[in-house]
Amino acid sequence: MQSNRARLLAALLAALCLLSLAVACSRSADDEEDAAGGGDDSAEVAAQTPYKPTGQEGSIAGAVSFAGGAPAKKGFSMDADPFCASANPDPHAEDIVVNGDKLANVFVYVKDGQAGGKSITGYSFEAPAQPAILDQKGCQYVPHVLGVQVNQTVNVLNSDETAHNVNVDARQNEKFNQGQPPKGAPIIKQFKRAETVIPVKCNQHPWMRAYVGVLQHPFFAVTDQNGKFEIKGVPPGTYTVVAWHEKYQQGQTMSVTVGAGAPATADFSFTGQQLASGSTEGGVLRMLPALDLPMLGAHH
Amino acid sequence: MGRAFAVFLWVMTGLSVWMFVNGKWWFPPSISEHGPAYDQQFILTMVVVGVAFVAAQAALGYAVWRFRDTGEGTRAVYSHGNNRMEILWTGITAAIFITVALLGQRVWWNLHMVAAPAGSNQVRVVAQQFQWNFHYAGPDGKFGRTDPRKISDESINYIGLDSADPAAADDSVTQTLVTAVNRPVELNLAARDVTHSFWVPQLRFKQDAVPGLDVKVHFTPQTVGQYEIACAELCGQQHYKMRSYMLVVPADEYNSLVALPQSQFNRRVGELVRKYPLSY
Repeated sequence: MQSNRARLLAALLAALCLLSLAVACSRSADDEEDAAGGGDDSAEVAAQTPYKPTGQEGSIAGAVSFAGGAPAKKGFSMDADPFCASANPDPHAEDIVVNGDKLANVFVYVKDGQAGGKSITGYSFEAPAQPAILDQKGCQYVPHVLGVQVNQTVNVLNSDETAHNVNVDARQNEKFNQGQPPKGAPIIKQFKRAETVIPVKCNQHPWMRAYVGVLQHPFFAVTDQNGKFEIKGVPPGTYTVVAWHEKYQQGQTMSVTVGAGAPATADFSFTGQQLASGSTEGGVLRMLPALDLPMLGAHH
Repeated sequence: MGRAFAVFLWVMTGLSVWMFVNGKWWFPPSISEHGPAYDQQFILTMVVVGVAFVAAQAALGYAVWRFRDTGEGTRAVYSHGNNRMEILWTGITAAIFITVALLGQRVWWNLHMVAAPAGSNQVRVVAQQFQWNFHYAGPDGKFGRTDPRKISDESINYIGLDSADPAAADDSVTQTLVTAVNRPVELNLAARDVTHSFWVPQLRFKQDAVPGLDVKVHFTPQTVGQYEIACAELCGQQHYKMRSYMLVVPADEYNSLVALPQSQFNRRVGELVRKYPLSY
């Protein structure tokens, strides 16, 4: 009787060992695949010509306007977290920020185009040494929309006396969801692939939302409070420029030609109807899973 | 050694009973009309279970003392037990448990299954990871239509209130539950994502908010003040942060609050939160 039970236990233990081995093996296979994927990327990068400034670069500047009367500023309460309520007593929703008839927080970027007879995506651009900063201040993200370059260091700061978690819902890049204690150490990350645009949220403060646009080149800008933007150092050429807004994620496109050393203008206009349609990427409503288990999506 | 262990058992039993009867560790004072009935039920259960606990531990100590190893080398005797005794104490235990459960059902029934008194204040509660939202109908007394497709946290539309519905124009959504003292309030609980549980210890009841269900519960708060609302159902990684507050304010303050337009509602709630200190 005793030995039967012992034999059963031993068999169970052996089965468990085999199972864990199998899981470990399949994981390492995944890792190898990832590594191979990474290798492909680097091969692609190697095929690109590093861009050398010619001194002939121009710029693309303009303004994004909002047609149809500014919507009322939407105030809300942060009472659920006493720190947030005291640090930011009169917060406003940041999804649509209009001043006068100008729209802030629009991510304007060069999608593709020809420069010097070659596609702009055929060049490689060194990531700036200066890290990009995404701060959490008064329980809102500063800035609300951030543009960074591939491999540029991004420092996520927590200036608040309350805990946040930085939930980065990337599709092309590594997803992560990391807790950050009050005034905690910065979370330092790099995005390895171009991706427009990655939503960032904090699960503890549902109103908090930021967007990070990652591009392989430095030709992007975010409209300021007056709806203005300027993209500097653009090689002469003809480009497709996209104006992306979080409430109109398919964006608007425009063809812009930059002359040698000359500024080009690109003005965009969004209508209230476009932004109210609330269309997300590709016009498809993205349903969230009933049970969001962020820890399962995280790779550390 | 056997004697020492028996004494240890009795002392531990005494200490355990003392922890409950000394009155130092008890619930926060009840503030709800149903509270005393809950407390009475709880005390009855505690007394019944307490008597059984003391009797069982005393008997265990006695057996340990009586049948200790006395060094005389007495052989242990196998006992098959006594069927009559087994039936008797199982029967008594079952009778006690069923009676206590039935009494408890009566209290629970009064809270959940008896309709809220006519004219109760109505509040819709929408729980989400990790926040409580309280929806007030506004001066028109009609709740605006909600649509899950309109839910947008970043646009501060946590419950999907449809602005196209005229009844929604005066609705307010807040993260603090405001109630009027001595006025019955009915909550309609719903959940956006996973199961949450509404719990104010001073109200004595916990009620799950379940996705897809509209769960009703009503109570009458009787003491002005501010009380903590906790989520009593593990709902995810930040469950511990799913905290809100319930305000019980004088009727006139409540009436003037619910008459306010959307744009002023939350500001006023903030003032009330600062006015009434938190009670523990």
